[in-house]
Amino acid sequence: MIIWAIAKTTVGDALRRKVLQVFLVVAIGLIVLSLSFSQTLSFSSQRGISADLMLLKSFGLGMMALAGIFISLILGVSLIPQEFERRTIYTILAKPVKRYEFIAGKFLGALLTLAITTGLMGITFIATIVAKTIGAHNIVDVKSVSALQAKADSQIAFFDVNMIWGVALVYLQFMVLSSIVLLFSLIFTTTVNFFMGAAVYVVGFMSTVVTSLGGAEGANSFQRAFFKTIYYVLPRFDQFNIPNQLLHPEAQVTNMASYTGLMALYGLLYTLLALVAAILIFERKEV
Amino acid sequence: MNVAEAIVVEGLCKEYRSRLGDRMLAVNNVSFTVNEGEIFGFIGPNGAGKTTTIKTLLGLLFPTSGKAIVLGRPAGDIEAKERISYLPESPYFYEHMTGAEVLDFYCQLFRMDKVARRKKVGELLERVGLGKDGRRALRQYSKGMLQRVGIAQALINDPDLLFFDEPTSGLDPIAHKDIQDLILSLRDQGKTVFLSSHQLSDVEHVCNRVAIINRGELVRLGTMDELLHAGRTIITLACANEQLIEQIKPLTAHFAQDGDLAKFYVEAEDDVHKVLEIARGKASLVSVVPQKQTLEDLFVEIVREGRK
Amino acid sequence: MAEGKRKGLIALLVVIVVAIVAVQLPIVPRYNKIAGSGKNKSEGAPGDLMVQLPGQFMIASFTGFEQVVAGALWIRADDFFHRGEYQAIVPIVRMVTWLDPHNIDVYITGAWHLDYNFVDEANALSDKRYIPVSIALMKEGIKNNPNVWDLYFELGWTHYCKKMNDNAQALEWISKACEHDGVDPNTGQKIRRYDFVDRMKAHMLEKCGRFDEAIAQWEKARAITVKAMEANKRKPGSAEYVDQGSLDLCDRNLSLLLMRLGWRYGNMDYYRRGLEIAETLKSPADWVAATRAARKDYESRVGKQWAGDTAKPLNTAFQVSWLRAAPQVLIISGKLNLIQASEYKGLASESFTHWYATNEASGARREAWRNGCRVYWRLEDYDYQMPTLETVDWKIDRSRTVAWGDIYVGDGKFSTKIDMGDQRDKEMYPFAAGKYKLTVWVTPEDPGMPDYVQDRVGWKGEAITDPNYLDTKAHPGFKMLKKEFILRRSDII
Repeated sequence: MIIWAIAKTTVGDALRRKVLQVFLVVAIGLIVLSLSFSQTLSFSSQRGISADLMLLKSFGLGMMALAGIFISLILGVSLIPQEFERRTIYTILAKPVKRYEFIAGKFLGALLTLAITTGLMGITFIATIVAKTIGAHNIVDVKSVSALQAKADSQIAFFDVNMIWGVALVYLQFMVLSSIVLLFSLIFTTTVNFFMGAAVYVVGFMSTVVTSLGGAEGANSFQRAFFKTIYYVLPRFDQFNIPNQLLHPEAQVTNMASYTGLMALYGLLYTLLALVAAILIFERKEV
Repeated sequence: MNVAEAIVVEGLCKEYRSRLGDRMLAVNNVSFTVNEGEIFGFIGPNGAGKTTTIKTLLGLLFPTSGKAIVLGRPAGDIEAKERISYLPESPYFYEHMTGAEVLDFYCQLFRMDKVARRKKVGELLERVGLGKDGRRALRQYSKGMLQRVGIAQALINDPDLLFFDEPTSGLDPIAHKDIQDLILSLRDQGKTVFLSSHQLSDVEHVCNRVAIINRGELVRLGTMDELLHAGRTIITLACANEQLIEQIKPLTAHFAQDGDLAKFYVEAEDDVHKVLEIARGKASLVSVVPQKQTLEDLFVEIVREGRK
Repeated sequence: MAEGKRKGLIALLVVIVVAIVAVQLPIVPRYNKIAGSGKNKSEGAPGDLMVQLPGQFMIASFTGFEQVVAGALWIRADDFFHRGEYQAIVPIVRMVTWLDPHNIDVYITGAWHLDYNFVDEANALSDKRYIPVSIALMKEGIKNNPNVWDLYFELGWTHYCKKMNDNAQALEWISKACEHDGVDPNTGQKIRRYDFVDRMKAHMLEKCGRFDEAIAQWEKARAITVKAMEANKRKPGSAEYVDQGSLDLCDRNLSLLLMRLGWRYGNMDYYRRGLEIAETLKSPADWVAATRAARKDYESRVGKQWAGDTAKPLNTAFQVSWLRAAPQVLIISGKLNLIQASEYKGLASESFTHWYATNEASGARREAWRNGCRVYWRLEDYDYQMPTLETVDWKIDRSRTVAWGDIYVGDGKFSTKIDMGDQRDKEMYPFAAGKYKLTVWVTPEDPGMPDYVQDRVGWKGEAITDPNYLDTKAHPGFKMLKKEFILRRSDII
């Protein structure tokens, strides 16, 4: 109950932060604006509306991912330090609230906030795709090579389940990032934490680069061990980022539902790791 | 430990270390007890270690050494927190919440169910005079209203021990009086109040005992009577006779000449009679004025001593 | 926190780390499969192309916006196309397929560009040096997208069949297309491949002279069409849309194949089967009338010894010569006896096709010829071997000269002027070598060979004879006409 109470309060407080609202509004606005993007690829062999949808989907996913980075960082770096700055933490911890309950409540609040923001962007994203697809039914692509293709154009279904996985993977990615940043906020200052969090994301995203650095010719055993450690310790954000598979279902090499499920488990474990570490640190932290 | 003691502090030390390794002893070997049912004043200049001591008692900080027991449990113990409350200086709450919502939030921290919370929130808002303002957002509250909310959240669990840190800071005289009355009523209910305040007149008025802390050390502890002496008497004579003045001076703590008027500050009561006896017939008696020491006087004296 | 609880939490941390490693075990191979399916991606971007790419595109391509970058680049390619700046499209194609290896449209369109759009100014002939690049690009696309039919089909049809006239290779790739279905790129739903894919395989089998397999394939295509039509009934508006017209196509083509086997080679069993199928089609009216006439023809021949319309040899009397009209301007001309209208009189196929009768009815001046045959020519460096590229490399060997085209045969004659001297075409025809080979040939395997020619000479040119240029070795089992000229540079320049 206490954890839930703190989580709810955290969500209410976080969602009212102007910076977060600005990022969210801008992201949603751009996703909606992408409805007007249109490609008239006259030489393309493929159906015209498919190219538009491809652009819409890729832009929407990319926009959510980009907005998610900033929202996660902004949320994570300030959520707990703000309690110290505003001294709200004193009245809370003076109550019979265990320290781990406070931390767990903040974590849960952050994840819920992230879920709400991602959910809003995701709903907008999927709505724009549906809107574009509905519009497709009113278009006869006169540039179709054959009548068969024109007929196929008119039969595009409304819903692409891959976009749900896309939104879910965006959320999971930033669940992990914000958890790490929340943990760091107990150790580092806000500014240092922001850049540390961004660095963790970039290095985790470029894990294949890290591997190749570790395996580069001339690398000594220490360097190899170092890069190998980074590779295994840092969460692999690139594994959440698979737009190719989502946007080209004809090229899917793995079942997306089970992959997303595995990534959800991976994300939850990392979040749990950050949470337990945060609890251990906070138990000994002077307020 | 005597069960009647709400707080026991023995040899409490709290040392801070900076990143460069510098050490600062914020609380140095402080020992005191607070009895149940009393209002205990805890005063000192800024940076004396008051807040550090309070935070240690609340479990927000961890002592470097020494012991702190609150309601029979180690400081910071969860069971103890069920029975204590804390009103910080200039309390801050989540601005987006209304008065009722923030109290409801704190009620949830005591694991109260919805029905109990609704009842408690209503009662508390009425008690602190915010019955009509409970639905307004806190960002619209004045400082006094926020202080009332702070008091309300401190009363949620009907605590046995309350920590008040500058409860009247920034309040108007009426609100000030209300707080004083509240503190006294709490004592009447058998509650223990640990009061830290710069309003020394309040402390002198309501506290049973007072501890004065300076530079991390406990320098005075006792009742008002124990701490404050009777004071001194100012005898003013219309006299310019230097011989007479020199005769009287050894009996006084202090002498001041103001034109024809000589002011003698006499501490002991016997010495007052002696001075009057010596002056009889040799100088005109202008006035005899007894002067009692206040807590503020004592505070200033202690601080000045500390600076030497 | 009690020390015991603290130790418990630390132990939990260790357990979680172990669990994370354990969860990675099934994830990593799946992720590698996903990442590796864009193999060219893991090899890294072509370095010089990355230099050309503006900074913001590079950043975007690494921040999850690679799809958007790919899309934006593809729009720019469209722009270049409209402006006729085809050269600029090539590196864009490479970059887009690197960023987005599952964008099938880019492979298809890019390869089409390479094969068809780099044309010379004077003759509208495409630069054949790009063909290996386009095929390599298509094969790369197939490697990255092996589970859908689209690219297999395009490679077979657009490139091997239409561009290279290589029916065998076309058949191989179209057959692979028939092993895969498609996926709706907008929704991810599995959809059946378009019905024409299976029909095209049947056509290619026919062209390759594998008639029994072609028959079986038509029957399979028909069965697939029937199944699809039933699916339509169950799911109206589905992507698997086929109608009666598709079914009729199968029947029509199968019946024609069977009847042709009868007409051309005297196989009465096939003739009968073809007629039975043709008779099930009740429209259009001319088909019905033609079928009736064919039925009469069949009845008249059944039981009699008859070897088919291609049994009688046809002397093509192929003649060809070249001359240099101007520096780098060649004229190729000659004669080819394909095909006089009188050749159709009395043929079995005439009952159905009326190739002779329609000529008779054409007007006061009877046309002696049914035109439309094509002669092919190819001019190349003497030692030129079309490379087979393992990976896409758009940097072609610009010192090489290779060109080919076809010449329309009308009234038994053909002639064409090939102007390779236009100043603007210097890059395309460098003529750097000292020796060249000019090959001129006619083959019944030509995908564009009209049915009426094959009705007389057969799919494999069985009836063709020629005193000078008959070639039976180039493709065993097939007959063609071929003449090779060796030219020196001075002959051309």
